[in-house]
Amino acid sequence: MNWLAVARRRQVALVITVAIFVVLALLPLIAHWLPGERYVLGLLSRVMIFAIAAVSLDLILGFGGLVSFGHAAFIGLGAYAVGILAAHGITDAAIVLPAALAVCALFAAATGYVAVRTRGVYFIMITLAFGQMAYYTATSLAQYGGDDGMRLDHRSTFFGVPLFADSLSFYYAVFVILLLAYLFTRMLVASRFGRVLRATRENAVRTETLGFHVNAVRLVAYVIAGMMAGVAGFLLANHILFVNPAYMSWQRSGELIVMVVLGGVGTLHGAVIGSLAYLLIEEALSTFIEHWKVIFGPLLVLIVLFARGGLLALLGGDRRD
Amino acid sequence: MSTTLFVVQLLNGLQLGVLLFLIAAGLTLVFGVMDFINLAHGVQYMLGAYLAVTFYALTGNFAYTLLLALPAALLLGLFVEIAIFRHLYERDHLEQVLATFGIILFVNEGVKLVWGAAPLNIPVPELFSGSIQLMDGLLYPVWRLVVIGSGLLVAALLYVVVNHTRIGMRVRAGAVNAPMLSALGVDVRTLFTAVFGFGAMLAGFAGIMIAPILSVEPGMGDIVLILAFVVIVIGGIGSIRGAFIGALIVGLVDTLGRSFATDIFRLFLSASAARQVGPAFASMLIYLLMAAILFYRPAGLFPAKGR
Amino acid sequence: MTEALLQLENLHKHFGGLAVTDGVTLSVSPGEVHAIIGPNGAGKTTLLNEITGLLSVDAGKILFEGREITQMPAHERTRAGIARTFQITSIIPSFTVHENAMLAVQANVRSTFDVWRSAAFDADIAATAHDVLEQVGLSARAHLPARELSHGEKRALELAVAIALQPKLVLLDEPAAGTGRGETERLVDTLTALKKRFTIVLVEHDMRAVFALADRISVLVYGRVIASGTPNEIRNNEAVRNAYLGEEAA
Repeated sequence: MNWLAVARRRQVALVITVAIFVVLALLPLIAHWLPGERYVLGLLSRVMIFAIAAVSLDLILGFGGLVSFGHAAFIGLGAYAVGILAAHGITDAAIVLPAALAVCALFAAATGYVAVRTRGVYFIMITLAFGQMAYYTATSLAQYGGDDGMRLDHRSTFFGVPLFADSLSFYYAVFVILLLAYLFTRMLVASRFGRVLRATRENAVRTETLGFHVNAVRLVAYVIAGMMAGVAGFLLANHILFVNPAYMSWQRSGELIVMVVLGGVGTLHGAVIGSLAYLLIEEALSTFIEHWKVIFGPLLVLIVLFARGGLLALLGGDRRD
Repeated sequence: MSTTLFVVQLLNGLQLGVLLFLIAAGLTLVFGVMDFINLAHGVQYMLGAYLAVTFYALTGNFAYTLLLALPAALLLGLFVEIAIFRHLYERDHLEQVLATFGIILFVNEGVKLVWGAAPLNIPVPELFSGSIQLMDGLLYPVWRLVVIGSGLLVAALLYVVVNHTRIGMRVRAGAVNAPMLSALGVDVRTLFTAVFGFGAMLAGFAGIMIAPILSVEPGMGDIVLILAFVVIVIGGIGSIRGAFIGALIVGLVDTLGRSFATDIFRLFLSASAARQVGPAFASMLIYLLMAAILFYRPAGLFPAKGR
Repeated sequence: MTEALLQLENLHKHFGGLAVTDGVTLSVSPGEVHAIIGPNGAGKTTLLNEITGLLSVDAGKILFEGREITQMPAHERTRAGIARTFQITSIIPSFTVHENAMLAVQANVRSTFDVWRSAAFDADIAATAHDVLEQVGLSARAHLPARELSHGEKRALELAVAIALQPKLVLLDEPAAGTGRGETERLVDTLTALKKRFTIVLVEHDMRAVFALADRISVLVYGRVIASGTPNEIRNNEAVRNAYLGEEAA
């Protein structure tokens, strides 16, 4: 691999990332001239919310080598924090958001403590197990809707201000949070902590014998990722005004993994691209074709077979080796 | 809690157990020998059930259905292996997850196109319909006993093949160290295809046998897939013996748990609280069990590659 | 009398019915080069794994600087001052040579959870890492991905990483494995220079290197130490000759 190729790849990746964020920032202006403006804003809001979750998953999966098949549980926990507090009359984000973060941090710390001791497919299965436990717990909460879930009357306020009420302001709030989440995670993986985390993915034994407590490092990354996905859940509940156990299903966790891998594992911008691609294709196909999964499924297979490194590699951008 | 109810649920648990074994056996071998995560194994089971529906509609006879559907399931498995999966053995687990996930989407939707979305069914074969009296006040469906019996028979057959034949030896060796096997001159490519096809056929067989009892509908393979993965993780990857014991454990724990959890909780909770907590706890039970087992045995009970 | 830096007391470990470590008692004095030799399968690497904490022992004690470390987790033993290299090169393949060294230096300054400081522009660590690479002659290759190094260069990187930890005790697991005559001689030179700075435990098959470097030699056969002493004592030991040295020219 020569320097020129690497530099060029990094350039392309940077350009693509900047382009995506610019487009997302300017989209409302474009949408203003289209019929169905609210639909477009709503759709992209949902896409960005899942992008936040996907970025958090890429942190532990792409950089930490921890393939979590229960990551959707954190989205669900964040959403249920909103729902349960709303059911008791508390709707201010000043209380709800920290609560969501706290719940996710606790759940991540408790389950992560056990999970990081396992490797490979066992880690996948144990995170799946914990995700399922969260799911079944949610379905048993009869007073909060049980299987059917519950609806919310209105979106969270911020110190009394209905910042989320308007679709445009909600869109930009989500955009800012996605940008912050992306930049924060970027900083994280580029830091000294990130270096150790990346090392544990490739050679945990060596990292341990250098004096780093590998399981502690993994746990910290896992908790951070969980909390970030919890923010996505907080936003999702606000977006749809509906909270449902299905947010935490293993199928949702699987979709998150697909989004990350589709875009290009271990790149962060790949997670954003992947969620964009996955959800937009899903939306586009399902609008026109009833049985769109018959096309989407093979499409995924073809991408795996012929586009190694995901969509990002297809576009010529940087990909983790 | 009567003895009769307990015995019935015990048998039901056994039936679920052998069903899970039929599915998990293929899954654990494919994972153990080829290091391939096959999320699409559940749709293999589902396709077996749908093939049974079609062949029954054509022949009106379960015996013929079985005779036709089984090879059809095998052929389908072989086709998928040769066309797609064998190109993925060398790939990352993540890419395998992505590809097999795509297959699940495709097949779950595809069966809706071919058979429609409504649940289907086939009748229990005349000879085995009805119930038999096992003990005083205990009537148990004959067909369920047939399922248990055939599952145990297959388990016994597998035991003999894996432990006492040359091909079984190669499979066992492959589960421990496939590259070594290749270096020794064994045609691993054909071996892999054979292992995969056989596993697919077993899953299909499970689907065929369950069609008279369960409704055949899109997505029926999904929950079974998860349970099968729990089984092979508990049992230890690459081990048939592990899959068998794991399957029985999961089948019994899940069935007995669901039947008696609410009652057990009623011993120290109010009736309404027990009714809430019971089912939720029952659903979580096998996952709690798996987490507990992994805590003490991070590689399962009988992993092929040793501890 | 100086207290032993590393003291192994009657270590035992079984795998099923096989005793891989069968009552090993050994002591390593500060500043010495202590070689452990023995036929393949004697349990030498196992012993290193037990000392560094990658493998637990069934019975016996391990003391480092007089403190018992038998139950201590691996990363804490490294922090206490025990570094090791691996028989099969164990580095971070996708990191550059320089980044590998930086990781070790970072470990040495005990900085794990620093999420703010950028890894790429890490001035203090970068400089120290460059120094270490110079000591093993890898400065010119600093910016290559570690996986692109030649076998000998990878072994040198292993060594650099161990040195960067500024350990008190370095465990070297067959550093000359797979290297040719020339590279082995260079390795011996490097280790001779390092002798003055660290206490070294050297597991090795290459007898020339062993006799050139070792102050003391212990011979491990079937998990047991059958002889321990100066190179001359070992060379002339009857039991050792029969068990092992007979096949190799001293």
